[in-house]
Amino acid sequence: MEMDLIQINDLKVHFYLGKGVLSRLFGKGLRTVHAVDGVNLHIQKGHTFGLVGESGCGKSTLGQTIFRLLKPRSGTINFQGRDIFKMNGKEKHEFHQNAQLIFQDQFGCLNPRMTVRQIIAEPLMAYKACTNGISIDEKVAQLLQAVNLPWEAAFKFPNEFSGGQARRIGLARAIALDPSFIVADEPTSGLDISTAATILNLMQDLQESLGLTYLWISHNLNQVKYMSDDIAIMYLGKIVETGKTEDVFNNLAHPYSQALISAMPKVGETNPNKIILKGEIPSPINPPSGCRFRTRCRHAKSVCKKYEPKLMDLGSGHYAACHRLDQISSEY
Amino acid sequence: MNEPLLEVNSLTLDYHLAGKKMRALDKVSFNLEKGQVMGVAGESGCGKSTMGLAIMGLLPEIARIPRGEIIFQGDDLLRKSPGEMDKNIRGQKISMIFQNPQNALNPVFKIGTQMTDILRFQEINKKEKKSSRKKLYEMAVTQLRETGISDPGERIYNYPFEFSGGMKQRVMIAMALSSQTSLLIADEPTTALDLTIEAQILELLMKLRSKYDTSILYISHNLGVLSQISDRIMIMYAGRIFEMGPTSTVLGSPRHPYSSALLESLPGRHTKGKRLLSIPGHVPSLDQLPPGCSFHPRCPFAEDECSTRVPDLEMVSSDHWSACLLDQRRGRQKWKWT
Repeated sequence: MEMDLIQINDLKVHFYLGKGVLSRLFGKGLRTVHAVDGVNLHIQKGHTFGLVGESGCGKSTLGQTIFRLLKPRSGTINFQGRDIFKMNGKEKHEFHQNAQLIFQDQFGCLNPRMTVRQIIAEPLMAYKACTNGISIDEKVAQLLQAVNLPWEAAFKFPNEFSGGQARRIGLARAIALDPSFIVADEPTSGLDISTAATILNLMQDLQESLGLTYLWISHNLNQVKYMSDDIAIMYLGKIVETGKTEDVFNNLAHPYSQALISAMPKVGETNPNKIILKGEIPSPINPPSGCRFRTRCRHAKSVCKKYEPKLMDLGSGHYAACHRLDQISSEY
Repeated sequence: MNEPLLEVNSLTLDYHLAGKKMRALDKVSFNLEKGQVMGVAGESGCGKSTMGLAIMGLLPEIARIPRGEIIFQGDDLLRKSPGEMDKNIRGQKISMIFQNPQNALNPVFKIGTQMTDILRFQEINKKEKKSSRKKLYEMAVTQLRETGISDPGERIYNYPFEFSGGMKQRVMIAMALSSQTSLLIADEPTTALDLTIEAQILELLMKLRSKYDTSILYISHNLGVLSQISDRIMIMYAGRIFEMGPTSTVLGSPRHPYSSALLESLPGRHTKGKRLLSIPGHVPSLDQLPPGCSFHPRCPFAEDECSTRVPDLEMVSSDHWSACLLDQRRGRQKWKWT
C-alpha cells in the first residue's frame, strides 16, 4: 500500500444563511447549506485524483477546505499524517509551502499591477527560498522555462498574455516553492481545445519531473478520465461513487454516474440509449431525505426515501452509495 | 436536393478599428437546408460568432461587408433596411440564443412580461387585432410548457433571478421559437451549463427541430456536442472555412490537417499517459494574418506554395469540402501529427 498524502475523514462543511438580526426577526430564520456533507477521501502520493460533479455539488468547497481556506463543521483532514486544522504557526507555514492551488480564473489570480517577475518572486521571497547561491531572477527564469515561457515574459504584465499563457504563469507560481500537492480547480476552463491540450501535457510533464500529487477538480469527464488515476463523483455534497478511474469507467455502478457518463458528448459516438435526467440538482439547503439523488433517479424506490445509502465496497477499492446496486447493474 | 433555406455566398467581413482593417470573415459560403442542423466549430476568434451576428444583422458599427450575400428564403438580408429586418426577419423568422441567458433577459421584468412583450410586438407588426393580456399570457404559458418548464402557470410570474441557468436557457428557447421561426442561430447555448442539463437542452432542441422543421445553425467549440446533434459541420479558422461536410465524414475522416489536429488534441480519444497533440504556435491575430493559407505557419506539412497561395474551399469527395492545397493536389493525405 502506497502512502496516502491526504486523508479526509467524514468532512462536513456547512454555510449558514440568515445569520443577521433582520433575517432572524423577519426572515426564514437560520438555514444551513450542506455544501460538503460527510466526505471520506484518500489521495495517494504521486497520483492524480479526479473530483467530478455538477456545479453546486461542493467540489470547489472541498478543494478550498483542503487548502485551509474554509473551516469545516466537523471531520478531519490529514496532510502527511498531520491534521491541518490543528497545526501551529510553523507547521501552517510549512503546509502552505507544500500545498498550492491553481485557480479557475486565470487572470483573476494574477495581480494586474505586478510584473510576472514580481508575481513569481513573491512566494520565493516570502519563504526565503533562494538561499543556495541562486538569485531570485535566475530562479524566476528557471520557472518560466519549466512552463515553456520565454524569460522575457518576466518583464511583462499579466494583461499582455493570452489565456493559456496566463494559466502557465499561475502554474509557474504554484511550483515555485517545490510543493508536493497541487489543487487544480478547473485548470482548463475557458481555454480552446488545442490550448487546453498544451496545459494538460505540461501538467503531466511537471507531475513526472517534480513528483507532484494533483487533486483535479473538473466537470469535464473526458479530461478527468484521461488525467486521473483515481476518481470520485460527487452529488450534492456527498460522494456517490469512487475508485480507480479504470474500474469506475468500466463498471459504472451508481445511476448518477451512469447518467453523467451517458450525457458526456463524445466525438463520433452516438449513444442511442442516452439517459437524460429529469429536473435539476436540488438545493443544498434542504437536501432530499434518504438518498439525495432519489428525486432524479429512475430506479428510486421507497427504501431510497427512508435511509441514506452508505458507500459499499464493490471490490478493489471501488465504492458506490446506492440501495439498489444489485438490480441496476444487471439492467445497465 | 431541397431548396436551401439560407444561402451564404462568399461573405467577407472587415472590422475597422483604430485605422486597422481586420478581416474577420473571408469568402464564407455555405447552404443550409430546411430542418437541417449545421454545426460551426472553431477556436475562439475564428469568426464563428461574427457569422451568426452577420446573419442576424446585429453587427457592431465597426463592421463592414465589402462583398457577399446572405440569401434567406430568396431575399438578400444584407440589402434589407434595419427597419425591415426588425419588422419581418429578426425575432420572427430568424432567432438567436446566446451563451449567457442571464445577460439576455432583463433582470427587472418578470418572465411573463418579457415573453408577452414579444407576442404583442408581433401582433402590432402584423396589424392584427389586439388580443387580451390574459390570452397573451396563456400563449406564453403554452410556450414555456413546451420547453419543459414545470409549473409554467406559476413560474411565468417569476423574475429571471429565480430561474437556474438551464431554466433561463429554456425561457430563451421558448422566446426564440415564439413565432414561425424557420432559422435558429444557437451561439454556444450550453457552454455555461452542466453536463446533465446540457443533455436536456440538446434533447429539447432536437425535439423542437423535428416538430417545427426549424433549421439550426449551432455554433460551438465542443466537437463532442456538434458530433451528436449536427447533420453537417464546418470547421473554421481565422475567418475561413477549412472543411465542411456531413458530420460523420468530417469528424470520421478529416481531410484538412487542422481538423485532424483538433480531433487529436481531445483527451477523450486517448488513454492516460499518452500525450495529447498540441498544435505549435498560436491562432494568428486578425490584423496580422499570414499570407497564403492562414494555417501554414503552424502546419508541419506545409510546403512553399502554402505560404503564397490562398486555398479555395473545393469539393474533395461527394459533399465533402476542404481548403488544403496539398489535399486538393494529391488526393487524400494521411496527416500524421506526432
